[in-house]
Amino acid sequence: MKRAFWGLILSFCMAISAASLTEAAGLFDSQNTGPKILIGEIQSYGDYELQADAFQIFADKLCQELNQHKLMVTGNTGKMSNEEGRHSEGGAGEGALLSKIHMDAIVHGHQFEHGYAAAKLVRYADATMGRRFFYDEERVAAWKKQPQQTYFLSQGVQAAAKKIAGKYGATYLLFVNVKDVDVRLKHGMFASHTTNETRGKKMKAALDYYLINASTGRVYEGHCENKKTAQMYNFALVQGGKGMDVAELLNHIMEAQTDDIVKDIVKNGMKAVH
Amino acid sequence: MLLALMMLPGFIGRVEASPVVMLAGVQSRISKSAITMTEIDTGFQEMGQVVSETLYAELAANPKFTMVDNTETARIARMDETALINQLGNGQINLELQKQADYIILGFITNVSNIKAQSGVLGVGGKDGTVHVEISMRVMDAHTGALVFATTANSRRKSELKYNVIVHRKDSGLGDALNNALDIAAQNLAAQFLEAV
Repeated sequence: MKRAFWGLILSFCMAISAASLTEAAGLFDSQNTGPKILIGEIQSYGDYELQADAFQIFADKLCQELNQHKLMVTGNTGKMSNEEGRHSEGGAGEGALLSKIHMDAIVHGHQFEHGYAAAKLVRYADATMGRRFFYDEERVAAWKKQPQQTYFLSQGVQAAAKKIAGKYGATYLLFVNVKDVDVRLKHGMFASHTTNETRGKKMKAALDYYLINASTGRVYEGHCENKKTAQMYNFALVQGGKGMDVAELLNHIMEAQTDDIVKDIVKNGMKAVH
Repeated sequence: MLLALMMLPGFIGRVEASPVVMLAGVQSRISKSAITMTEIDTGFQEMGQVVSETLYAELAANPKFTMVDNTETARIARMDETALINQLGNGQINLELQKQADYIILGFITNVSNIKAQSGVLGVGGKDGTVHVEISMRVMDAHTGALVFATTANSRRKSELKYNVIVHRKDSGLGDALNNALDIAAQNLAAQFLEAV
């Protein structure tokens, strides 16, 4: 009887011990109630690239928007731009696999332009879909006319997506391809001063995003384009306008884009891949 | 039996212990563009210190978690903060930090700019400048390396005001405006963190 009593106490102590290990990790458990989204990769697979820091800033803004919509966010803390995976060819590391999943979602999607893609993406597209695939213009044009239609990742890639999402406990994976950022200095026709301050700047950015259901590999694809202009003018006795640097313009555009992305995936994306 | 009794207070103490949160450091993510309209000459290290100190002060008093006395770790982190953050970001668990904290906060300065605006006609009008600061934080689970929370905060403060209507006025103070903006942004960031826990 005594043995049973002390055995019970020992079991109780061990149970408390086990509970205490999970205690520390529970600080953020109650913050959001929605599904957990893994930020897979914020990168450019277009002709040009932004600096890695710009993608990281984009990732922070995206996380904040997702939080505001009560969605839980996860990912590899320091590597949401996945520079290492993006710039490595092959490999079986998590970064390389995330890059592969992103590329697979892009090449199967409606927005892929064979002629305006990064070299790595073109090689992946040719290897996966066959070189002739993108030259069947009628079929590609017909596919582009159905932008709301979801599609699936390749089978092997689907398994990799499921495995990585499982590791982070995520229901969905989200990838963003910031494929085009264009900055123009406007001419100073109405500027009496020709310094930088009076020269206008116009920035445009286009991106595609891919929401993937981790358990089925079904992909929802979205696209958004945003622009921002700033110009100060000093014309004779009239002056006006607003001036800001390029980083500030990019900041405004990123805010608009992350807002657009999250609203769309909440309203349409998650239902589409469910 | 004796062992069980000896372990009991320790276990109860562990249960009551709140999670430990560590501020690893604040670094800059600002890439200077070749087409820059305005230049702010304050160093990013000084800006990072303003943000760090405000964040720490705002978070330290909260009873839900314990901010560690991380003097030594912070010193090491400041010495090679990028390497530390890269290591953590690679999913590598830093054993030293893991022993000391459950969550690690990584802070970043993501935007500092001076926005200028002007309007006027026939010499009557004004100009102003506004410092816009944006900072962000990522919170990492020290045991798994996974992101658990990320957010951003920003603040705008007037750095210059000049008008000439009936009276003439000219005020400027970029340094003060910048420090105020960083301080307010860090307070906003801390408030979002506290709201999430």
